[in-house]
Amino acid sequence: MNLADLPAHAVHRRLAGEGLLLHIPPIAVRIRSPMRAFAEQLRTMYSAYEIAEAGTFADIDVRIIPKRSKRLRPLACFIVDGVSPFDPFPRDHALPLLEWGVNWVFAQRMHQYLLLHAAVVERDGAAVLLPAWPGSGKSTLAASLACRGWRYLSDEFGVVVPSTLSVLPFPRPAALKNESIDVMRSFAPDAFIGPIFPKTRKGSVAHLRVPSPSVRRARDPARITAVFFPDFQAGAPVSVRPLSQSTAFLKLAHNAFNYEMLGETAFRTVAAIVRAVPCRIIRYGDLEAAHLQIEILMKEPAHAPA
Amino acid sequence: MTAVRDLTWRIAPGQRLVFEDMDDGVLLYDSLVGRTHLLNATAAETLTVLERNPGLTSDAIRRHVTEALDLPVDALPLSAVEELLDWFERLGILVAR
Amino acid sequence: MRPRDGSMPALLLRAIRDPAALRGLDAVTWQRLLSCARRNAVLAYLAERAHACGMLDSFEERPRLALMSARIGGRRLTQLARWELDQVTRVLSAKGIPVIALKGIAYVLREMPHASTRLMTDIDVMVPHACIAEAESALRDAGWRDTKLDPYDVTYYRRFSHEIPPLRYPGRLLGVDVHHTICAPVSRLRPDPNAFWAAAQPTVMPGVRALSPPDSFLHAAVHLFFDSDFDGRFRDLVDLHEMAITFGEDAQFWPALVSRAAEIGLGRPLFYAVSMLDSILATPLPAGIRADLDRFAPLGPVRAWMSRTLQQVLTPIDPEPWPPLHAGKLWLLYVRSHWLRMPAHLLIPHLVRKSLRRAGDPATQTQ
Repeated sequence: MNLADLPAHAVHRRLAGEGLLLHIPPIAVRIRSPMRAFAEQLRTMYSAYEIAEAGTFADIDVRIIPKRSKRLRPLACFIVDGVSPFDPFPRDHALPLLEWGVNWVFAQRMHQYLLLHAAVVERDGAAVLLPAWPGSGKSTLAASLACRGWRYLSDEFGVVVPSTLSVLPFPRPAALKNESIDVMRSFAPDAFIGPIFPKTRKGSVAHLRVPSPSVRRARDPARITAVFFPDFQAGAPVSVRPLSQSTAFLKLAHNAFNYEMLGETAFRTVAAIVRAVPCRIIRYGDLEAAHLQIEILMKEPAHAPA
Repeated sequence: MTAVRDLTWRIAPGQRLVFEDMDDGVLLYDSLVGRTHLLNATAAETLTVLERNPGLTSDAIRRHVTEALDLPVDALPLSAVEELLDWFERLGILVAR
Repeated sequence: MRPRDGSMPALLLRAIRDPAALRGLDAVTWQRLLSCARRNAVLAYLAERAHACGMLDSFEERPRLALMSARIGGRRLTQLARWELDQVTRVLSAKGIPVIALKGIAYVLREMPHASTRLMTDIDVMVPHACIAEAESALRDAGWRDTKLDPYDVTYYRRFSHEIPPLRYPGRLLGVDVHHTICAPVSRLRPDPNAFWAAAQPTVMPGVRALSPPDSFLHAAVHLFFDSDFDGRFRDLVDLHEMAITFGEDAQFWPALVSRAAEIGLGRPLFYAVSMLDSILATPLPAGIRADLDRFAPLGPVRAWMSRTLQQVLTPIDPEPWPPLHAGKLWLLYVRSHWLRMPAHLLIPHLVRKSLRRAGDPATQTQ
């Protein structure tokens, strides 16, 4: 049963009671919260996700709970394992708080995988890593590709099975910030974008809902065949620059969530990736042009899945 | 105290070096400390030489490395070799006696 | 007062004593147990216990992955801790300053079974009191910097504590706390630091010593019962448990421990340590030890109150209730630990300041 199959009042009741258990491959997440508005937003953004059976092991178990505030604005806390690890958010930013908190917990607990900081999309069996770096625009690029027939695996985590080139989906709503929100609306008017949360730490934030076909295939791994470092520059024409293997290695390793933790395993896995697939920087000022360039590149034999 | 020239060098005890060749350099994982380094050819060759021949002086290392890289000995100043060895020592990769 | 038998704290205690208690758990119980272990900073420890008993591979996939993931983190921190000690020792040895490794990093050097399971943020070392200023300036000259502390905390450290402010080398995860004694100089417990130096033992790392086993145990007991705010101290009790087991393999350890405690005036922390190990973790203890330690007990009413309160506060915390229970008792014990550390006229302003800061304080890390 998907979340959409559960009426709104039932979602709210579960969240406020024993918790809502969702499959978000590769994990199951239990969420508890008494907040009705949050329940509605959650139901909307995760409508295509499968509800896990009662008695499923929740890899991550979180609560979003209102907190009284001495100042005027009501707050909400993120709680995991009986502690509140960060400052509360404004209460009406409960959804971004959940997203941020789940990312934080995931990055700390999943050391059975190498967690690269990258968006991941896939087509015809070939997965493309879009690593994060400031100003890269990776989330917007990944979201736009997802709206044009690419399977969306993640906008934040390249979940790599160690010592392989296999990447697992961990599909979550794609975070769009500030101007990207309008850019996405024009680019894909039919895409579902959730409410805008103004004045977060990162400015205005909204989320692209993960397209249902990508959610349905969330248990299917893909093989990494390309690493494209996106470099968004407003007004820039598209250009592609190859990276040396060692430069690509350092960028991927430096940016990974748990490279340090995994030690030699991470070292060997990243080395295998940069030796097996071409690593490039794609500078672009316009999404359509970037897409076209990616299409061209993906036709090269080097990017064919094995 | 031993003069610098007379020191003999070897891979630090308990150390295990993991190398991965890249198109433009050699990556090294130092499993004792758990750190990753990017080495140029000279540095990588220095470690390879010492893995095979522990206990060399800096001068001997210089000769082995230039020979392995097919360079004249003068191409690699002794001071550069000693600076490199010192650097490796501070990183916990080599020890000197 | 034991935790209720069906509760997660009770299950966690059973699992620590015997990991076979984890066999056959259903998924929800597993999940709640792991959550309880995380809250009490013993997930990696539980994983090591299960691994040492050859049981880890027999568990169901999801809990097994969670335990294995925690082990990876613990081992990595151990590696970083060794390196940090190596680097600190190079600097201090060059100035002729001797070093004693304390707490977590000492367990690492002794290769104790639980050594790779502590979540350290810093390593702790001790130098002679006369060398403390030189040690600090040597480390700063070599590149170590202050971590983020407000100026009041820095003053607190210097005047009342037994550490210079914690220092960290930029870019590294772990910092170093340099001590010159194991009890705050203004506290009511005043063992002579020279006694610790005299009994210190060499370790596998040249230039670094460790406290003798009785002194290690007493230091941990002082830290737990007199030196802390008691939050999350179940983990520290587990360290005492492990020391009791490992050091206790030597028949001489317990008699030496009791006489050492009497000799240097640390009988009270030893009394609390043994009574709490017995009642909470059922640690194997030699017959008659509790009677031997009776002379170190506090007087009647304090004894009863401390026993009840310590049991409540040192039993693993259940992460499920929100807001968390405990707060009142914790606060009382915090006050008490500071009473022992600081004269009253300094205590009140300090506590007022601490309580104001806590009101705006984001809470602690999770594992």
